[in-house]
Amino acid sequence: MNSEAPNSKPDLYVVARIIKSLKKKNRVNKTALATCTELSYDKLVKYLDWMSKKGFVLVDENGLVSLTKEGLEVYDELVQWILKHVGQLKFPRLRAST
Amino acid sequence: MFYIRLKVTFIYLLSRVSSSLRWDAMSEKSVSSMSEENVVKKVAELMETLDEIKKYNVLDRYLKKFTIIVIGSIAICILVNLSISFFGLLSAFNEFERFFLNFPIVLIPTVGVVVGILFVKRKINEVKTGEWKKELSKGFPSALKLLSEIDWDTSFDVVSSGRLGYAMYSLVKGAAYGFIFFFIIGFVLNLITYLVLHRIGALGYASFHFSFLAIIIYLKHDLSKRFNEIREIEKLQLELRRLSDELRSSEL
Repeated sequence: MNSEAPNSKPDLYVVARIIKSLKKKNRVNKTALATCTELSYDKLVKYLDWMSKKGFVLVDENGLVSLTKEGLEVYDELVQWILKHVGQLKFPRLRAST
Repeated sequence: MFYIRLKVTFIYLLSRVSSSLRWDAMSEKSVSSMSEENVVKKVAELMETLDEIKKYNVLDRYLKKFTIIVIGSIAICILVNLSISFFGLLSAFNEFERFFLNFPIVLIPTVGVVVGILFVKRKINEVKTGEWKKELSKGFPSALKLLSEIDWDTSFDVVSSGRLGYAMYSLVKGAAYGFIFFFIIGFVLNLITYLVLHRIGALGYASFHFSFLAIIIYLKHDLSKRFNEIREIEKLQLELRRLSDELRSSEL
């Protein structure tokens, strides 16, 4: 997983963090987004380029980033997909006794 | 591997977004956040369970040392007892006094068991748990990260190896308890026979039989509890394997 090269192999965790932040803040500038996603500005810009090509985000002429409906849908589908698999797990109540 | 599959799935999901859906933004948003919470909750449960299994593994890892401490203390107790008889250290006392003066040697295996258990408890307490909590508090993306970073093969090894040690630990502890029970029950029975009949050793091997019975009852209770837990761990292992396989093979 090379999170430095979003054009070829995007880090899903980073993409999810960006989408989650955008869900909360709607429209936000790149610097603020970099801060709240704990990404370096350069790295964020690379991801935003990749995400805007995929249609997940829109970056307007003022540099404000917003989430598209597609981006939100993909994020929700990803949540559902993970929940489908992890949600089936039943965990026993374990307590190692000595 | 899992991460690569996740990415494949993600890319697949990207291709699906072209099919636009009509949905109510508000209700969809709340369902989404509930789902995210559920994922985070489930991943927290998974991580907690894996943490707990690490503790079972500690029992397996330190079983040898625990056994050496416990069996060593029993061996010392037997040696001390034999030495007292061999060198006639208590020969100046009568039979009754010898018996009761001999009794404190039961403290040796008792201390052995206590030291052994405390040693294992300390090792269990040293297991680092909950290191994922800070990360997981960041929500769904962090749950995704934690899931992707689980080393499934190592986790399965940990689950497998912890089971046998957990049962063996109970057996070693049961054996030591049996030895201690034998002394204590023997002491109590001889005290009773001395008070009633003014004799000791009147009940022959009764202390052995009673201690054997006591240890059978103890082991039945302790082992059945442990085997139930082991069965639960086996079921969990199967579930984790299924999850791992599904996540690895899912091409959607």
